[in-house]
Amino acid sequence: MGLLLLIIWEVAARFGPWPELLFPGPGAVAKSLFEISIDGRLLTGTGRSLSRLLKGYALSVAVGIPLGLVTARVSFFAKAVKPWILGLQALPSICWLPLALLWFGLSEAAILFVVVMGSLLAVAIAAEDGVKAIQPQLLSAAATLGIRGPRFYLGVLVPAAFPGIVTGLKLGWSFAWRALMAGELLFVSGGLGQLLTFGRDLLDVPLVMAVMVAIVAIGILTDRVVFRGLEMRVRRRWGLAHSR
Amino acid sequence: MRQGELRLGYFPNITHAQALVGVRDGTFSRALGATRLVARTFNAGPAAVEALIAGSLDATYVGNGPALVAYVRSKGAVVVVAGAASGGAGLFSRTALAPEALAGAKVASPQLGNSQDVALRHWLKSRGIASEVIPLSNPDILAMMRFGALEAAWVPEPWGARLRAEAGAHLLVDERDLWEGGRFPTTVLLMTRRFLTERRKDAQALVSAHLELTARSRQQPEAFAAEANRAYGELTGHPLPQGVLQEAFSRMELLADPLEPALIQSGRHAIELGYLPESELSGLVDSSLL
Repeated sequence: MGLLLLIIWEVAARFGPWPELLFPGPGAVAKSLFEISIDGRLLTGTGRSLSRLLKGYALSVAVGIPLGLVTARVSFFAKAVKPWILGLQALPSICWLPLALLWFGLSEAAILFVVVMGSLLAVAIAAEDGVKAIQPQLLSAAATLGIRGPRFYLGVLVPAAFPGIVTGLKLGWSFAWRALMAGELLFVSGGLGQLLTFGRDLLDVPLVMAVMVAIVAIGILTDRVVFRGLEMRVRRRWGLAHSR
Repeated sequence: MRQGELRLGYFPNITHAQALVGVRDGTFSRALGATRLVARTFNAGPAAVEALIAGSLDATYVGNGPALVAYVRSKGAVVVVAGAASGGAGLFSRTALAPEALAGAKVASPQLGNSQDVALRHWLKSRGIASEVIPLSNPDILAMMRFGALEAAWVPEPWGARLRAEAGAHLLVDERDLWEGGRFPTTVLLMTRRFLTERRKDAQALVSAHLELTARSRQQPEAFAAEANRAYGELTGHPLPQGVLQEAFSRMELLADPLEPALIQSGRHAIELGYLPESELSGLVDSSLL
């Protein structure tokens, strides 16, 4: 099936009504992908993008999960902070870029800010939903047993809210990835987004498509390797799937 | 290509003065007679040449960088039929007083692969200066230089004049000093080869109007600059202050000569920088309409 699609694509590129320059076939894209792999541009770009992504994502998770838990448990936060989280979540994070450039200048901090604004709120909202979904009996039982403070948060709340948290981790990752690519397309030296812009500015459409293929591959790979594994563990732990 | 229409692209940029004036005062429409002029503005070269190659435009005013990229990538489907502007670009810095002081500094160009970007990178390379080159739009360059986040930038006019007036920058390198005779193409008139061959009459009318506008600009430079500024103001919402306008025009020359040798040389620079595959550039200019 996949092969058939590739053949249709190649035929469309060669004999379709569009100039081949603007709609290259898979052969040209593969060649371009091979070239950027050999000359190191793909590796350098991927390295820079992933390092930005990991930093921004780590920050989002480190702040977002506690923020979500606190918002769910402390009524002051629920009243004062939650409307802000929900409101700002409606703002595509790339809208922060102009402000980030003015605040942080042409620096890594500007792009990290955009990435964090993209994923932090999604992580926080999912963590909060995770807490809300906990059965009240479980929390009452913990209270009856006198479990409080850090022991309550780390020993009861976080494990019980974990399915929600995992959803947030996954959502946060894909939001961070999107925010980063949008940011790199518009500004920033290095990174995959800039390699794509490079292709566009020089009318090198096979390069544009090659970078798109690389971006998709990275997305699929992280989803399969990191999150699929994490989800399976959670399911087993909660008895939703049988151990294999 | 649409019969009865000529679709022309240009930028709200002072280096596109003939287009600004000609579209606004009807010079193009008069020359085209029964053929209707459909003018579209763009903010950057890549978008304009994409439109040209995709068949959404018949001709466009564009910088020499994107014109070269379009010629090479389309394997000659587009061709430069006239020059439009020479000069009007240079390196403006905030604090650096000598080129060597730019080593390790952040230096911007308006767009990867555009005329100023190629000029900047070629200049840095030939002088052995290692700066961090950042492609950034002209308005962002102005903001970042004001803010101190950027040391220097190679920009076209009126941005150079604005950097001086609004960001306290000074002119470090006038690009005219780097070219023989002080002339190099900044803006050219690019056309699809198909339009040139199949609609020769309309192509000729467009180029005649372009020549007429260029001649006017040379006879009455001040009045022409003022007219260009009026059109610029209408398109962008902010006409340039008188001082900036005069300074911008003082470093620039409007002409119809495509300056072929310099154009081809800057194409060689782009190839040396790895922006374009090795290609033959001899068919780039068709001056049969001039």
